[in-house]
This record gives sequence, structure tokens and C-alpha cells, in this order.
Amino acid sequence: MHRTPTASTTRVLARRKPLWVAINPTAWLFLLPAFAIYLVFHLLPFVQTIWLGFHEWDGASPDRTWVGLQNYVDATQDDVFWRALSHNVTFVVMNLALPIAIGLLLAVLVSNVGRGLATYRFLLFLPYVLSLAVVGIIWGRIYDPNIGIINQTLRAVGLDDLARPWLGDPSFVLVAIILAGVWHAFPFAMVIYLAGLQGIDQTLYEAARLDGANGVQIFRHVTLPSLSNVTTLLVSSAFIGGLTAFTMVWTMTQGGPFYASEVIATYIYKRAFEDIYVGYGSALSVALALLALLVTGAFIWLRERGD
Amino acid sequence: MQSVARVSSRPAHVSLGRVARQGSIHAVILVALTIAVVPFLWAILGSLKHNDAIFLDPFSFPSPPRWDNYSEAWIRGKFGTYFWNSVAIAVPSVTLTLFCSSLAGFSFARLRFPASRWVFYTFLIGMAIPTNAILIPLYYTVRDLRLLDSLPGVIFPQIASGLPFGIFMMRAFFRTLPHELEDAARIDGCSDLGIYWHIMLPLSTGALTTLLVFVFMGSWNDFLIPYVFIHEDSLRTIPLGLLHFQGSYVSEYRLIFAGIVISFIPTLILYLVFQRQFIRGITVGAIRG
Repeated sequence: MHRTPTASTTRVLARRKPLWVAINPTAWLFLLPAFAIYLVFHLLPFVQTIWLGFHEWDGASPDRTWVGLQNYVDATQDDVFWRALSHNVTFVVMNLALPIAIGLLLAVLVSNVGRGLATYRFLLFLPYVLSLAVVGIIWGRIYDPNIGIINQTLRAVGLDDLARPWLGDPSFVLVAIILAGVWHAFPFAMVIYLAGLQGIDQTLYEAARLDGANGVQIFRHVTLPSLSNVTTLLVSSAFIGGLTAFTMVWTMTQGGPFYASEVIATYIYKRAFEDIYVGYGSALSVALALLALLVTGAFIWLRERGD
Repeated sequence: MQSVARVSSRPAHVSLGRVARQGSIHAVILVALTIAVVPFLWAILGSLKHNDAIFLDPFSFPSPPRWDNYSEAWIRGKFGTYFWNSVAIAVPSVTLTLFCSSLAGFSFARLRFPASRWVFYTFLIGMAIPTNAILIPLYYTVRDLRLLDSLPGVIFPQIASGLPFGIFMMRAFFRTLPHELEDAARIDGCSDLGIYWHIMLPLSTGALTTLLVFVFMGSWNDFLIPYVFIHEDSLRTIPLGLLHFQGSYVSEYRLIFAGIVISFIPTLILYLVFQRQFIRGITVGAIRG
């Protein structure tokens, strides 16, 4: 009797084998390198962050004082923390609205272009290819009050009074940084929407057209709902990006001037690595991680529900 | 807005409307394109000019182009050092991430063992934990391992943060391969390692290339991890070097621009050559994930 071994056959055979084979040490061996590195450099630190958040420590002495929830209580009364959090909220809102709307618009437009789709997509994707640090530094130059092209252009068209030190002005700095982020992020949304658009069943469009729907109605009732999964993903990704923003703020203003552009991540960095309040910084990190996990969890729940 | 051309049933005057519509579509795209591309062009032009020219003629083409800005940035500005540091970190980071991910992905996809789902979920959680949140204890771990200001001190954390996605991708890929290949090899007496090495790995070059591009970009562009663990100037990576340089040579705009261009040229070249893999790497993670 010749039967091709299937998974169930393998399992049956495995049951007849000694225990150490059934546990399948080879499988564990294959996992070992990945798991070892992941454990030491990602998973354990996460556990340690939570643990450290309940202590006060200066990073050097062997004693860590247990303070329970004191760090969290201190956080609720920390003005800079709440200010930074409000900046993150602005970040999240703008990071949600702008790149997604622009990305969707461009995806729809580009997918309707006869020839040149590939060229347009190639060129429009360029900002995303850059490192966030480089984006921050280039836009730091663009916003430069003297040589930056924004002020240069304003002066060239005679709007001299609108020229200002964008990154030095507390009322503009946060928005300026966020706009640089939008420049970097919109290609990501566009490319994902493009892929999503290509996946939409054409018969849905034909059916809608037969029912007499016009362009806008088709967009609202056929295109958008078919893209809802993609949109959910982009929304959660923008949320996390806005919550954990660090690099661009750090390379452009380091949170200044006077906390006008401070965000949670930069504040944590300063408290933990400059002022060396390790316990406090860890507690804030836990808060940040909880927020991020909540958002990711909500996203997964939404996706499962959508299916 | 999605148009399937049905020219035959349309009267001639409507085609003018279509031309106008196509024209405005292109116009809007061109505006977006300009905004997307101008910063690159400005940096490239500026990198070839005198400091004064950057101020006086921001959009002019430099004549003659000052190529020595680049050699100055490379040597005096230390961008050569920063460049090779980035390479020295990215290559091991990518290689090891790919190696570990494909091994683990294969194990999850094809080898049966107890609790495999739970171990997989443990890896998945990693994707939801931002590096920012674990940075503090990670710093002390690296310090206690005496890996501060060293390349492995950056490489291992980078691998750790890239593994969840890498394993997710490789597992998904291996699951799409037919069982018969494996079964036939087992009948022939092939071990698990043999199956992995002789069958699975050669078949996965496409997926591995996509993952490679993705992980390489992550490592090359990484700012946070190198910034926290490296303070020695001779070990800085390009993003770090650029920030430091900007602080020290505040008014030497031409050199800063040269440094910026040096930072993004390798990325651009990689993007040009591997454009499809770039985009596929992102969309695969998004659409399927």
C-alpha cells in the first residue's frame, strides 16, 4: 500500500515515536537564533520597562528604590508631559487626515492616467525612501529663515511679511514639523491605496454604472467601502506613527523652542537619558506602549469584524 | 471616477471633456510631483554651489559645479567614515535577520511541534511594541553586555525589532508552498535541515529579496537605535553623522547638502533597481497583514 504521507500521517507516526522526537527538537533548533536575539533585545526589555516603571533609579547605583505607582502619579501632574501629549494628539490628527487624504486622491488620479502610471508612481514615492533623519534635516534647511526655499519663494513673490523663522516660532513649529512628516508619509498611503484600487472587482463598477450611478456616487459606494481594510491599516499606522514620533522632531528642533514642539518620545528621551530619571522615563514608556498596544488591538479587532 | 473606455458609444464632443479631465488629472499630479521632488533637486543643486550662491540663487544651476564639496564632505566632514559604518551595520543586520526569519518561518510553517502557535504569537506581539517603549532597559542591557559604542550593540537590537515582521512574512510565504515537495523529500529520507536547505530556501529567493530590501532600508535609515547606543564619532552612521555635522558646521550649507545627497544616493540607487520589491514589501505587509 503506497500512500503519500500527509500531515495527519506524520502525526500518527510521531505518536508512535519516542517523546523527544515528537517534541521535534529540530523545530526548536530552527527557532533558536531568532528567539534568542528577540528575547534578549526586545521581549525582556519590554518586561523590564514595566518593572522599572515602579522604581526610582539613577542608572548607576546598584539599588533601585521601589516607588509603586508614584511615577505615574507624578506624570499626571507633569505639565510638560501633558503638553507633549497634546502635541502628539495634534500629530496624530494631522498624520491621520493629511497623508491618507492626499494618498487616496493621488492614488485615484494616478490609476486613471493612461500612460505614465509607473513613472508617476516612481517619482511620487521618492519622499518615502528617505530616512526620517534626512527628512528632518532637509526640511530644517527648507524652513531656514535665510536660505530656505520657503522664505526665498515668499520673498520672490513679494510676500516678505509672511516669511518667518518657521522652526523658531512657537505657534508654527509643530505644524511645520508635521507638514514635513506629511511630505514623507503620503507616498506610503498612495502606494497602498494604488494596490488596493487594483484589487477592486471591476464588475462592481459595471453594476453601479448600470444602475445609473455617477462618478462621485461610485466613489462613495463602491470604491471607498472596498478600500476600508486598507484605510483601517493606514489609520492605525498613522496613529502609531503620530504617537511615537521622535526622529523628525529631534533632528529639527529637539522639542524646542521651549517645549513648543515637545512630544512624548522626545520627553521620555530627555528624562531618561539626559536627566537620568530612569524610573520616571520607564513609567512614561509604559504609558506610551499601552497606548500603542491599544491602538493595534483596536485595529486587529476592527479587521476581524470587517471580515 | 474609474473609467472603462467605451468610446464607441460616445458622441465626439464628449471627448473634449475627457481631454480636459485628463489634463486636469495630470495637472494635479504634477503639482504633487513638484512638491515631492523639489527638496531633492534643491539639495542636489545646493551641494554643488558656494554658500553664497545657495543664498542668492536658490534655483540656479551651479556653474561650474563644485564637485569638491563632495570630497570635502567625505574627508573633512567624515561622511566617508559614516558611510562605511552604515554599511558595516546594515550588512550583518540584514543577513542575520533574513537567516533567522527564514529558519523560524520555515519552522512555524512546516514543522510540527507543541505550542507552535503560542510561540508565534509571542513574536507577533513584538510588532505592536514600538522601540521607543523598550529603549530604556534596552540601553542598560546593551551597556551591561559591554556593547555600547560598538557595532554589535546596534546590530542586535535592529535584528530583534525586524524579526517579528520577517518571521511573519517568511512563514506566510512557506505556507503557500505545496506539501508534496516536502513529502517527496521526506520519503527519500531527507532531514528537516536538508529540506530547508535544498528545497525551501532556493524557492524563496523572491520573498527573501523583498524582505531584504525592506530590512536594509530599515537598517540604513535607522536613527533611534544608533543614536542611543553610539556616541563615539568614529562609529556614527550616516543619519547620526548628518545631525552631528549640521550642528558643528552650521553655516556650511554646501557641505550639509553634500552630506544629505551622500545619505540618499545609495537608497535612491537601491530604489531604482529594486523598485518593485520596495513597493511589494510594503503592500504585502499591508494588504495581507
